[in-house]
Amino acid sequence: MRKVWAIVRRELQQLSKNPVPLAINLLLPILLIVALGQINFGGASSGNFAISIPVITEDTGAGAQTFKAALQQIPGVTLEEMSLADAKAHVQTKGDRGGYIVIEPGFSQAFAAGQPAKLTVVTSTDSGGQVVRSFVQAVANRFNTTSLMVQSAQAQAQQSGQGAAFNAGAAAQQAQAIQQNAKPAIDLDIQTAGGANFNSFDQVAPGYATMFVILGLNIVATTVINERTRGTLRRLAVMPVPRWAFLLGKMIAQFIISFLQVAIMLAVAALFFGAHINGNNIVGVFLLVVLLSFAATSLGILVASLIKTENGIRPVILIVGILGALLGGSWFPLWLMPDWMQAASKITINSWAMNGFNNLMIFGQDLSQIVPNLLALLIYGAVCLFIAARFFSFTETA
Amino acid sequence: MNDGIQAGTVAPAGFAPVRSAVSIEATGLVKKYGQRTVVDHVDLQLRGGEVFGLLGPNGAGKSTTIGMLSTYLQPTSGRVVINGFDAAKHSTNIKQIIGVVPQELAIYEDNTAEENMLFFAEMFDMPSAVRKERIESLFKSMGLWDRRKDLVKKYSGGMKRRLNLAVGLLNNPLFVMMDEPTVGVDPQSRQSIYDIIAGIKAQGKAVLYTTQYMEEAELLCDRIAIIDNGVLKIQGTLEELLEKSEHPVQATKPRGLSELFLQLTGREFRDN
Repeated sequence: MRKVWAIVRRELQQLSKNPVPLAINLLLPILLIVALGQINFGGASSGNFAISIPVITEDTGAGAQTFKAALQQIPGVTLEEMSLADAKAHVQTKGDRGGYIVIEPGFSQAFAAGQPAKLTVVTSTDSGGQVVRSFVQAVANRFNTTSLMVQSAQAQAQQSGQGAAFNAGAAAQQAQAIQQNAKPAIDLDIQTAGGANFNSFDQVAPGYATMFVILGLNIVATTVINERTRGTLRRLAVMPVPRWAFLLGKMIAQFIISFLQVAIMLAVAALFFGAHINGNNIVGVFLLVVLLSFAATSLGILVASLIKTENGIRPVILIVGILGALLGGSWFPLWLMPDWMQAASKITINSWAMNGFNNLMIFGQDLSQIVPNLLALLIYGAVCLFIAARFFSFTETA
Repeated sequence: MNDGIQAGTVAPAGFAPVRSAVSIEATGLVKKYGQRTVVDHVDLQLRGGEVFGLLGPNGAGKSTTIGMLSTYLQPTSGRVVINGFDAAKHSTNIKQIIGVVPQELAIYEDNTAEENMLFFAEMFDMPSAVRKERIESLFKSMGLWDRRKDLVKKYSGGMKRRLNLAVGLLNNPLFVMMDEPTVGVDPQSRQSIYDIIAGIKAQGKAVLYTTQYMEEAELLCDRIAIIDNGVLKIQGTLEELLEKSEHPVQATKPRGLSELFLQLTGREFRDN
């Protein structure tokens, strides 16, 4: 193992001699994450605002229709009628809606009778949820104000009927008293969904970290090729260095770099932008980062074992990196993809890693629920390493 | 066929007789790439305390022969035995006792010379104290001790060549293969390399030396082989070779311009 560590140390020494590329490799992804993290994937987005709110209508009376019409008067708001199960799936599992509204039975009757009409709103904790909450609250407030005005007018009408002249000051006092004693027109029960827990950094940070780790295959593959072209590989080949020691040394050095790269990106996202990494999921996130780095580095070693020139490596890394990011959920959440794309994404490292990160950071799942993802990354890395060891050769073939 | 460390007595020119502790035997070496035969039935024997020159034009098969002798390349057919170790079966044993100085500068330019030496030394199984002592000794003999902390990319061509040579000698090898080690170096560095080769020879070790410079071969080599198109045309001492020549050749060892240059400019390194 002494030889392996010597190879690791030399790789890291060489890297430390070139701090500028190292800094760019680290800072560029963080800048991208910060910029792209401003995008909200939870149902609301900037620019052309549009939000779709699922509604479960259990009362079809006039009051319910009036309330829904008032909500839809808000520009960009669309109501989607659906079952409670579907609405929960959208908000709590898929995370593509900020919240849903349940118009409870008897809503219209209570509203007409001047009694509090029961309305339940379930939202996510992200900004999409905040938007839904604020819209429903605003409409409910309007209804409450209208109700106050009606009650005040009724009181005035009663007094007029008794022959009293209109007194503005008395009317104002009466309105205050009515407001203090009045029951709200709508009894709004706002709940926060326990499932989806979406902050756009929960998607963007692991997404771009994963993409850059895959693109980092270029580094390990290029170092192997440089050794080949500069003759140092040939020199090592005539020294008592086993092939496995060389490959393992290269791999560990790149693994350390990849691990630190992902860990720093996620730490920045969690500490400064509220990405959901906490005591509940830190172990799972850590294991995902470890196994993602392992799988990506092994893939890099495999590429370097099969392709012998730098010109040959570049397009392969680009294809693997870009297609992996596109298919594997690095750029946008996996659940937004059509089913066939989600199925196809399973060939990528990104997909297994991103599915795991999403489950932990967005859907609040625990470690046991990402075991398949961890195993898949482990197997992916082990298979790549096995094939690389099989095909890697110190010597050139003419 | 040898079966372990061989001992014999040789008397290299200019040095006291030393005990040989190494023997190299290559028999019927063939290397083919597809239909192309690069080395064709080459037989070589080297003994301790001699410098064996392998001469030939570009593409003659010199480097491929070194590749097979150093276990880097697997011969298509034929056999290499070094100190009783068959290269096909005991390459790890052979790698512990050989040193290769490749034609290209096979060193890490982004690392310091010291980092290079420490790294390559760790590839051999030798105690840490021996390793440190060996590195210091080599740095000093190569005239690089004061610049060992410098990045290799800041070295001159001659310094890089000397470092390349030093790395090949890290394990104190019994058999050193040098593939054109003086290409592109100034006379000072070249003379330094010659001195080091003389020292290796004086220790009873064997040196296989390839070069394009005939005067270098005349100066350094006890025996010379000429290879062309993968076929060994002739081998023997300089005198034997000259005797076998079809045309009369003057058997002198001209030092010529190089000697004059050294006389005029001195033997000090010009590294700065």
